[in-house]
Amino acid sequence: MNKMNTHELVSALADGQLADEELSGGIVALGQDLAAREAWQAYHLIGDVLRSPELAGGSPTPAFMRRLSERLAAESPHGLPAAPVAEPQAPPRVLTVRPANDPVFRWKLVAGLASMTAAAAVGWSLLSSGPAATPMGSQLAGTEAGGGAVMIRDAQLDELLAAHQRLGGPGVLQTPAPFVRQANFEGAGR
Amino acid sequence: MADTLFNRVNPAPVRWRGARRLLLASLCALGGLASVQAALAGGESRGAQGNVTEWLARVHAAPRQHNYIGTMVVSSNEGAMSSARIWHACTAQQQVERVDALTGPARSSLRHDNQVLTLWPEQKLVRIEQHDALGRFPDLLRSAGSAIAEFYAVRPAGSDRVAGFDADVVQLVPRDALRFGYRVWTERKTGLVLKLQTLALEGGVMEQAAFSELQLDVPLRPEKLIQAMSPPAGWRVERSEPLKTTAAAEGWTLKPAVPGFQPVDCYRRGAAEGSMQCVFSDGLATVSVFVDPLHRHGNARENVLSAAGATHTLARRQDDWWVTAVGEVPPIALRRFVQSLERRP
Repeated sequence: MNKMNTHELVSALADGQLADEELSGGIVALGQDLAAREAWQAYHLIGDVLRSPELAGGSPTPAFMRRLSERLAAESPHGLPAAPVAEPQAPPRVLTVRPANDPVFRWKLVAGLASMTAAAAVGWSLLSSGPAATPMGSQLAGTEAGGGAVMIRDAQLDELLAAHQRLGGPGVLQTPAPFVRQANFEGAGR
Repeated sequence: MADTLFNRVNPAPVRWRGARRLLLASLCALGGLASVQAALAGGESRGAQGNVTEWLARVHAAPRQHNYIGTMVVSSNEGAMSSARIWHACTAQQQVERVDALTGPARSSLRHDNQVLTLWPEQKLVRIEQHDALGRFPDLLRSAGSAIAEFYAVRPAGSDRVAGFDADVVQLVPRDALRFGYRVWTERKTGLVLKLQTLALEGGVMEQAAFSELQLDVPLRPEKLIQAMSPPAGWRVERSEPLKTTAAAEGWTLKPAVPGFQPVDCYRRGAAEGSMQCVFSDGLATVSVFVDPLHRHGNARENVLSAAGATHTLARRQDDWWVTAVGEVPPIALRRFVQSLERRP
């Protein structure tokens, strides 16, 4: 598989356009090829920046993901740390991954993207040793059962929401609530 | 805390509502009920509209007669939360309000007469916007008073304490499925809204805004607030003045869509002729109808999206145009709004 093909494959995978064997191929590529994983992260970062500057925080680096995989592998099956935590500053970074129902996203149905993400996580977990793969597998099943509905932040919709809050006025009750809400929709970049 | 206690033992200035207090006091004496409850409870049986209008007038007047400093928290049923520090100063002539966002990107805005000034410290950016909506609200109140009584049943719902202040609770129950309900907490002495919940048709809370902390009737001078917001030298200044237009001038006919919603204003959007934002209000809820050329919304989908808390959006393609309705109303009402638009031949 040459470089160009890998990028195209990852692009199609990120857009949710792959199925069956191609899908498996893409996931295997993500699991085996560092360049593929970097492309995967770059495409998602580009998408995030286009949708909203607030989402442009970037995603974890491969080095971070490797450490995370190692730490996950070191976890005991009962979810208790196998050994005293060596790097107490590392775990909170895991929480920077937004929950799928975080309302800062504008939700839109994109079939399959959630299960795609979970599948990629499985791809990553293949890198690490066996014990980590089992909980990841159950996570994949859970996500698929959840319906795979993902809402995506839309910069154009944000602009309309901000204009609505701005020109709609505070109403008869005169609360400053619309002005407080407005901050949610006005990206820092305007 | 000391300030709050101080304010509560020193009654608010009473220059404006002597007569009303007398009336309410006599109602209390007669019925043995709390002030607002008495006014509204009487209202259900005899002349609801008069009492609703009086309650609204009191709520509407409060920010025109009382200074305050407080922290307002807005949260939605999906778990989103934003908060802001608010300084509100008023004199007989003017109201000035500064709102500093405490969540999200740093941002300070100042509402003053018909102007809104917003400072973005991270970008060293100032936006100055002429904002006609602020000056016009007394007119809206006049028409909204009767509309609110017609489209909402207004019921007393007990008393409570919010941000350390005693509050009367009033529930506004919609009489049709085209608007949401509200629960409103007003400060007992001044009528200032302390907390507001937007209720789904099934009764759940979709969004709530409340003061978590409040100092009422603090000495604040409007001029000082304005001075403190003068933009530092060297910041980029963006000025915008929404250009008013009418649907007819942009080549559209807007048929009445939802009973009770009055057209407020239409503004032009961008250079393209025909694109506009029209604002409608029933006094409590606001709906904006946006019309843009189709290419500005390339691959958007026609869909209903629950955007944030009570604010819903609905988009629909109409020939070469993309129509989006945004408002704090159920999707069924938004559908009527987008369908009310017709391109004039």
